[in-house]
Amino acid sequence: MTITISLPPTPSETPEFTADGQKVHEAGSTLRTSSSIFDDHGSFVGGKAKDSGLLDGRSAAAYAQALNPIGKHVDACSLALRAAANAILGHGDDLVDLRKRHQRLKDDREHLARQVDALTARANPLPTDEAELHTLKSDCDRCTSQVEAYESDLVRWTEDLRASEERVAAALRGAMTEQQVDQTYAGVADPADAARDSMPSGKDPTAVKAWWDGLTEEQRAAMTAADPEIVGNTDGIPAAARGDANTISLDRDLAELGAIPEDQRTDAEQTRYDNARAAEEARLRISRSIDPITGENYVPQVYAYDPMAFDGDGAVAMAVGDLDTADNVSVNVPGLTTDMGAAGDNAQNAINLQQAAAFEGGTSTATMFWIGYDAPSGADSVGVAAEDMAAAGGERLADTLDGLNAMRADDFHLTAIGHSYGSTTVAHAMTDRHPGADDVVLLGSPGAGDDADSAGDLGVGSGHVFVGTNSEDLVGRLGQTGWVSPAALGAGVLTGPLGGVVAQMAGAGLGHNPAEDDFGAVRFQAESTSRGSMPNIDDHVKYYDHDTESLANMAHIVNGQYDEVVRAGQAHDPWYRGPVDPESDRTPTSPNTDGR
Amino acid sequence: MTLHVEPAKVRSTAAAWDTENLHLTAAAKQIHEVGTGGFTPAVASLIGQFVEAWEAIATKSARFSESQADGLRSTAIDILRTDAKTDINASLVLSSIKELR
Repeated sequence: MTITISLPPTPSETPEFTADGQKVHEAGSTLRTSSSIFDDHGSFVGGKAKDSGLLDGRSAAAYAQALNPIGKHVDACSLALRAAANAILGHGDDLVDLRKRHQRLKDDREHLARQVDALTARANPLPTDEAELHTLKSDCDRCTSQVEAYESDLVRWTEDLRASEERVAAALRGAMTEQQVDQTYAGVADPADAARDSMPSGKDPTAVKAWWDGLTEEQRAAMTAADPEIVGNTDGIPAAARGDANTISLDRDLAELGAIPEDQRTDAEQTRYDNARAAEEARLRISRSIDPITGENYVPQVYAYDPMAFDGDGAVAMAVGDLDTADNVSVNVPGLTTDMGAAGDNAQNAINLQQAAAFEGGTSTATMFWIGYDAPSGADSVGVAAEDMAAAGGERLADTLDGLNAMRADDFHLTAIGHSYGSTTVAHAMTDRHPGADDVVLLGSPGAGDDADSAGDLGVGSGHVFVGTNSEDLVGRLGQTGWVSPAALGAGVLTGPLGGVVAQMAGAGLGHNPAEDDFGAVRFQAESTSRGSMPNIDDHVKYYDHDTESLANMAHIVNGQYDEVVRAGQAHDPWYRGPVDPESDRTPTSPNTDGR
Repeated sequence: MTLHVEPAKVRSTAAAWDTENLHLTAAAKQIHEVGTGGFTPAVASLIGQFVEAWEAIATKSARFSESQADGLRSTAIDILRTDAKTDINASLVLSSIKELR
């Protein structure tokens, strides 16, 4: 019997591929921001610019006559540049995908080449044993078909690369001159117009999501570039699209306002620029931070950006991780003195929690800081004395939580975390609206708000209301007696340790102390190894620090690892003496939260 | 006599054109900074040409905006100078029409 053995062919070399889809994406993103500036310019030329103030008939007519063609041309420029930018963004996505496929091809090729060499060695000289010959033949045939599969993958990869290059090249070649731009785009309706007109009038995030899903890809891209303020800040729109839109708004503010000499900026422009720079600091902190498990840099997602909100205090929310897809999502609400200028520090808190969640075994997490309400800050600080701002903030937070739930079709785990006055805000959102959060964390809380008598009122089940209070945290002691005292406010709440102690004695909290046994929440350990010996404000700002009990426990809660949460004894308030906190006698620990 | 110019409106519209000039100049700068790095050789040279072309388009639009601002102011000044021959109010507002940025 004759056995014919054909050695497998050597696989073709995988071509060099140095393209970087991420860089290409950045180029597209920059050009999309520029298209947005043209878009605004078109709106100006077609609107405010017409009101010249010239009343002299001949001059006014000449001015108006000159504007019409300019307006049409600028609109065409906006559409052309946007189309090219979108083509580049698409090309960037293609290149990211092609890069992954290229790496697989390289690995396959290397593996196959080694196999071919090994089979060639086995065939020289040919084995004499018939069984061995059969095995060799079978191995050669299998390797040959693997090489053939590799070759066809390589051809497909090359064709896909070429097709993507041709698509983007066509888009670029078609918009190289102003004549081309006018020929193709002058008088063409902006797809954003019809999309905007069909937008639901109310705030219902489910209706918004349905509307967004019903738009064409072209309309969504157009809305993102033409109306980034709307797309970036409307609950129900997916986070990725909001992130794209807010990136445009933020980059445009940085570019446009940065181009105005400082001494020529109006007060409003300066406020907007300062807030944009604060958001940029947050964005940079996130993008420069590293996941302790994967070693990769985080990608920030700008979920909200409104630098002139709340009379210039500004609103911004930014996530570490992908809010659209993460299994575990947390929304972190800061408190006192928070305005947009605090974005960098709040980003650091979100980074720390994300890193700790990853270190504790969370594989799919998005951690967002949310400066989305008018927190007591600056001259507003007196507002801490009352719950109005927390109640109003709770409404906005509930809208945000509803929006996150509406934009996701899957069942993900959502944790609302509030620090300081933010805990009162979270408590109000949960008590007053019952938005769909799974867990609630109240940190250094001055009180859970007057609407909550117990943890059960927050609507997630008392076993899912977690409280972290350092026993020497001055603010965490404010809610001990659970009622607001004008006398305490007069004593100067939060103006210093003395004022704080007086406030505590007078019961200056914002509702029940959630760390107290009567409230019925789950208190977790949150002491610090650098804990002070008397009530102080330093212990109020350590909850998100790495290697603290509080951060480790928060990471477990965010990950849904409830059994890992280290419980703490609850404070109690016997009738015969002042409040007693058993945690004050415990020696604090310092668990590792990031592997360093 | 009535003025043939609304000075406050001229001032604000001209200033808005000045702002458009700054914004479009910023756009031109942004476009200029788009590099060809990351693209394949087949696309990189086209990107280079595209960036050059659009930087020029943005710059031209910026200059047009600046000229609109200057033109509006100078037209208003010319009209007010004529009005000033018969209306003292025109003389009074003339000096308020000036470039702020």
